[in-house]
Formats: sequence, structure tokens, C-alpha cells
Amino acid sequence: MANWLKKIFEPNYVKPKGIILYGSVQAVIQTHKMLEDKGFLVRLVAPPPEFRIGCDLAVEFDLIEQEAVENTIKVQPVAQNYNIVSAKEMLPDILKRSTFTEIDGYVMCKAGNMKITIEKKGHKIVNISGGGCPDIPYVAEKLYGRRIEEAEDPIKLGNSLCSYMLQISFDALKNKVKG
Amino acid sequence: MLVLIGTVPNKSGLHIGSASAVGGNLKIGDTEFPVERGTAAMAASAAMICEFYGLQKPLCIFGADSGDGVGTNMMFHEVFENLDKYDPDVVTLHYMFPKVGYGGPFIAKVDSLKKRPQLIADAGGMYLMKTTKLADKFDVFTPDQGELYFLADEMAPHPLYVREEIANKNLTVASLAGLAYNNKNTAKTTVIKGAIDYIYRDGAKVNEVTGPNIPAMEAIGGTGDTITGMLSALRFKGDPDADLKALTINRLIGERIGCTPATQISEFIKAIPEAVEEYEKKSR
Repeated sequence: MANWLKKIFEPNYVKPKGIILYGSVQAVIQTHKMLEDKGFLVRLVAPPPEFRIGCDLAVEFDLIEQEAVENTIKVQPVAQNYNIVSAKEMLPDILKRSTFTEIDGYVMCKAGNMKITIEKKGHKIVNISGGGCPDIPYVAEKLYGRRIEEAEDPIKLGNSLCSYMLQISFDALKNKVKG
Repeated sequence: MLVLIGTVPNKSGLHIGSASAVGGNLKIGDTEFPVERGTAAMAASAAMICEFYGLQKPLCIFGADSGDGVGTNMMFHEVFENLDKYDPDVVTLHYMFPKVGYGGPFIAKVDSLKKRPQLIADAGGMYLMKTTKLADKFDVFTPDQGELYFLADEMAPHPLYVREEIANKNLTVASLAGLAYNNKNTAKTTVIKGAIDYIYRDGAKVNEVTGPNIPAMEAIGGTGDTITGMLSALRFKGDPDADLKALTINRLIGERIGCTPATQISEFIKAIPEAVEEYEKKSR
């Protein structure tokens, strides 16, 4: 097989990857978004098993770009207390799929184990279901009764993977409402 | 004793004591806990069942935690130090920060007890035990169908990381349960909550609950917590049909109160005694 063809079909993880680790899910999401906006090829992944504490998220990048990534982080308003390690394995990607269900004048959006339901007409958040991390009852309490267009992002209220998953269903539902 | 362990938001410190749930409101000592979702909803449901059958009140170990993990840490510290003093018959783990360092010491503490309690886990407690490969030490897991994908994927350290090849395959409940059991990533009994509820034991389906069918229940935050709480209390009672009974009573409540997707779980909890009464009458 020609070299250029091999490259196309080569799995991504064959290229050396670096992993940016923070102590909080919020910091990871902020840095991931910033690097993506700056044009880096980055991906949200589970950290390598030896670095997992529980409820972890990390940013994966091409190790060849480490210097550029670190220089960019240094000058941007994102958390600076990170560590970088190299990854020797394919790490689990995050789930991106969300589904909608309409029930008697309400719309429910589900991503993984997290569900958010709004009134179809007024867009008021009436229920949040699922999850197992300690911030979810708190986040749910803060979102309950708010119109989805005006409600704060779940990940700004919480700091867990369940909150991030709720953010995925929240964003999908918000986009659906916008049309 | 029935021991319920989990985190609660908007409080501080550690709360330990017998729980009462008069009229559906949860109280430990003089402290009230809103029962709108999570551990408090689970504990209130358990307390309602205990009260209905005249059982000893459940003992709660709650850590105040809104996501920083501090309350979870305090809670486990108490468990590691003092679980034996509570003489537990059933221990239920619920919302918590699933820090991998807690899994092994928890099982070591349970193994050190003179009498081995039944172990039940839902929410963060279930995530922790699956991720630390200790799921098969448990008697019951109570996942919803989204969490069943997580149990089925041996690579996923959290439901957020379920691989697309599993999430997008439209696998049946039977094959997902099969994967979870084959990889020892679920408990002896798996109670799967959904449009149809399933009970699996040692990999085989032993029962399912199809009615009354109330689609709105999936949207209501806490309908899984009430099942876990009722199931824990019914197992503590020694009811041989505890799992089936908890699933059925939950549906009977939904029907009885005419729930909609906007119904709050506190309405469910208040209706537990009437629904249990109805269930018992029907089964006489």
C-alpha cells in the first residue's frame, strides 16, 4: 500500500499523543475549547488509567505540538496548574450522542445517563434526571424552573463528568429550541 | 440495620443518624433534607418503607458535598472507621464522588465484619465499584438503561466514556447485561430501570415489569432513587420479592398521582404508603 494511503487509514493513536491533566473538569473543558479555537487538533478523553483519580477528563493533543500548546496555554486566561504526560494507548473518547423524546407537551433530551426535560411551549426546565456525582442534585436545583435560553450552563454550576454530560444534553436541547 | 451512605448538597459536614420521613420529609435529628433528588430522595423512600412495615429506621451517613469531594471523603472516613459499630444488615451506596481510592478499602472493611451485609449500589457508588473492578462483590446494582451501557463497556471509567461502537449499536438489554456479567462489571442482581424494568440474576433474566406503563416517569428526576431506597428497605425486611415489589410500587405511584414530566419526586415519596397498601391488597 502506498505511504499516503497508509497514512489516511492509520489510526490516530499511532501518532504520539500528549495528555493535559488538570485537577478539575471545568479547567479541562476551558483549555480544550481555547486550544480548539486556536486551531489545534485536540480531543477530550479519559486520562490514562494510572492517572485516574475518579471523575476525570483530559485533553489529548499531538505530542509534536507540545511546545506550541504550552506556549499558547501560558498566554491565555486558562488555568496554569496542569501536567502533561504522554499516552501509549488509545484512550476512551467522550460520548457525543443525544436523543430527543416528546411526552405530552414536554421535550426530554438524553445524553448517556443524563436527561433534561423542558416545556415545549415555555421552554421552562421542569426536570433533570440521572447521574451519580455529588454536584448533580445541586445543579438540578439551580436549573429547575429556569427557561433553557436563560439558564446558566450546567458545567459552570457543577464540576463533574455527570455535569459535563448534562451540558451535552442541555446544548442539544437549546439548539433544538433555537431551531 | 439498614445503612444508607451518600452525599447531599447545600449542607456542611457529616450527618449521621436515624432517618425519619414523616409525610415524605426527611429528617435526621433536627436537620431537614430537601427530597427533590439524589441521596435524600433515596433515603426518604427507604424510611417510608421502614415506617410502613414497622421496621427499625435506616441509619444515614451523609457527607455534605456539592461536587468538591470533601463530603465524600468525610463519609468514607466514617465508614472505614466505624461501619462495624452500626452492625449493618444492608448497606446502600448512593450519590458520591467516585474516587477510585475508596473502592478497595470499602470492600476490605466489609470483609472484616463478623456478619456480611447485603451490598447495594446506585449512582456514584455504582460508578465507583464498576470502575475499581469490585462490582461482583455487590449484591445489587440499580442502573438505568444509559448506565447499563456503561456497565457493558469494560473500557469506560464513567458513563461519559461509553465507546461509540457500543453506544450506537442499538444493542438489546439482554446483550448489554450479558456483556456486563461476562466482564464481571455488575452485581449478582442487576435491576435495570426503564420503559420496561428488568431483573437479572447471575446473568439470567429472572423477571420484568411492564406496567403500568408511564413514559413520563423517565423524565422525573429521582424515580430511580425511589426504587433504590424502597428496594434497600424491602431487602432489609427480608422480603423475597423485594426487587420486583420496589419496581412495581414505583409504577403504581406514578399511576396513582397521575404524574407528568413536570412532576417532582417529593410527590412520589409522599404517595409511597398508599401504593404499598394497594400492592399488598392486590397480592393478598
